[in-house]
Amino acid sequence: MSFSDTDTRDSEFILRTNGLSKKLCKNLKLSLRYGLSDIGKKLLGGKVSDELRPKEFWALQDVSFDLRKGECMAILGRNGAGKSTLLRLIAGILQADHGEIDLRGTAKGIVSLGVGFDPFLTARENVFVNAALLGFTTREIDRVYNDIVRFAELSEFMDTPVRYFSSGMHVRLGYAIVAQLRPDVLLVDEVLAVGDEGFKKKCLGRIRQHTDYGAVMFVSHEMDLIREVATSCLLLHKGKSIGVYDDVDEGIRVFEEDIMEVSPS
Amino acid sequence: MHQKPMSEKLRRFVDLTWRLFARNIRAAHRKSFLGLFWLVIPSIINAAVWVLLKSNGVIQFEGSDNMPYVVFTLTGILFWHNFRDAMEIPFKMMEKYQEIIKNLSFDHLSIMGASVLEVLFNSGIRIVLLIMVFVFYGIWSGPQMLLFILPAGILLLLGFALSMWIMPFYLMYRDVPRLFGFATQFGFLFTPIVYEVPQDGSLKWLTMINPVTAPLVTVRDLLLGGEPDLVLQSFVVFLVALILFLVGVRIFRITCLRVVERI
Repeated sequence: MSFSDTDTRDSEFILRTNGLSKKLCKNLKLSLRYGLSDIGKKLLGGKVSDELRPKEFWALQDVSFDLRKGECMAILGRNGAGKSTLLRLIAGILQADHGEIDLRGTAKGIVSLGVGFDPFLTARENVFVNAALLGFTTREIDRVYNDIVRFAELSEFMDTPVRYFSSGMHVRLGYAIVAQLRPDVLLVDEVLAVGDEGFKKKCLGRIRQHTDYGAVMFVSHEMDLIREVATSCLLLHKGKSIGVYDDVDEGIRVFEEDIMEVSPS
Repeated sequence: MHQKPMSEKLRRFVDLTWRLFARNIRAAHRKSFLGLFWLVIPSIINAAVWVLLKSNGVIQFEGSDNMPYVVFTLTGILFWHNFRDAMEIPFKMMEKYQEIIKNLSFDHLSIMGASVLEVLFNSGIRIVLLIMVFVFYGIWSGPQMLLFILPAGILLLLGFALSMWIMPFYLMYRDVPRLFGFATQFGFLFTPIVYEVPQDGSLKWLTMINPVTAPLVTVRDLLLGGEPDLVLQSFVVFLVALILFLVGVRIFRITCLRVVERI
């Protein structure tokens, strides 16, 4: 495939994954041993084999999809289907064992709650540290700081150490930071399940807004919410992609009938 | 992926490193009354114990009148603590940032950068204490004593280099932190910190194969106006430490994520 060919056909995608795969190990001791042997091979310039070793499994296997600007993709799957692993690979937190990620811009988001907050620092200090960890410079953070505070509705508490925050307040602050910093691909992992109704509405509004200049990928188990905001959905089952559905209702139907029904065993 | 220009990458690295460093210092001293004094209190108490042992004749020390044992031993202990910090702070920092590494993507080398800044900060505080002690005892042997900064830097470089080589094992296996605790305790005793370089015996042999000996003794020789006779050895330690450090950075780059995702 030549470059010009791909450029003309798919110039609008922000994110493309191709055969994305990630191995995990069920056993801790073995996992550590495999880790050391992989590191050794890597340091000596060798190649790490793709084959599964005892107790290893594919947490994600051969997942390929395109995400275009303006798209809001929901990831559906049962617990352990590989949803969070996929988000972490895209965010660059984990390294894929196989496959490629072609990302044109930045992919940032919340893949778990309250992370990067130091309980003994104030909310204000945490905003700066957290945003710096997300890859933003002091100047960029200065510019959006007031918007972050307003969005989180925490202006009275910005000088309070975050250890006095409730879990809802944690989420509000964390989400406000990510959302205001406007990555090209916004990743949201089940955070909407924690906030109260008012904040949830605000987040949904923010997600819709985000599709004006970027794309969103989110994980949720609430079908109503998915119907409301998603423009497409990706179905994962035991690490494998069942397909990407541009018709969200169709995707949810397939998920409920084929995946929820088949796998309770 | 967009390729960002080098200067942009560097600016972000510096920005993040500084933030992490500032956050650690602030968080560490916020919940304590004595704050920065905790950086020197262990060294002072440690030195006091050795002064007591020496006054009871347990330690042999051939110092002159204008070089009290307390200055001699405190100098050694402070720089040993600087060296220990250079090994330990990267470990502690990585343990602290494990959860964040698992959940945010950022330049992990910034954690090392912040560790280096914290070690330099701690060393600076200890050197301030030392200056006060030197002023109190009226010790000044000329401007050449400022050269101590070179072997002091070698000590830190050696500490960081060892730290980065041990890191993957330290994080993966609980045995390593325990062994490390033992090793630093024995290391303290087998380095001429509270005693002078032995002239013979098995202890001389042990201290001479110990890479910390040469730079530490040179620091003290320079500061206390002695004849520095381990300069060549210090230089060899410097070269070895530099190579270990550069390879260590590469090891860190490759291992950081691979290790953390498995623990």
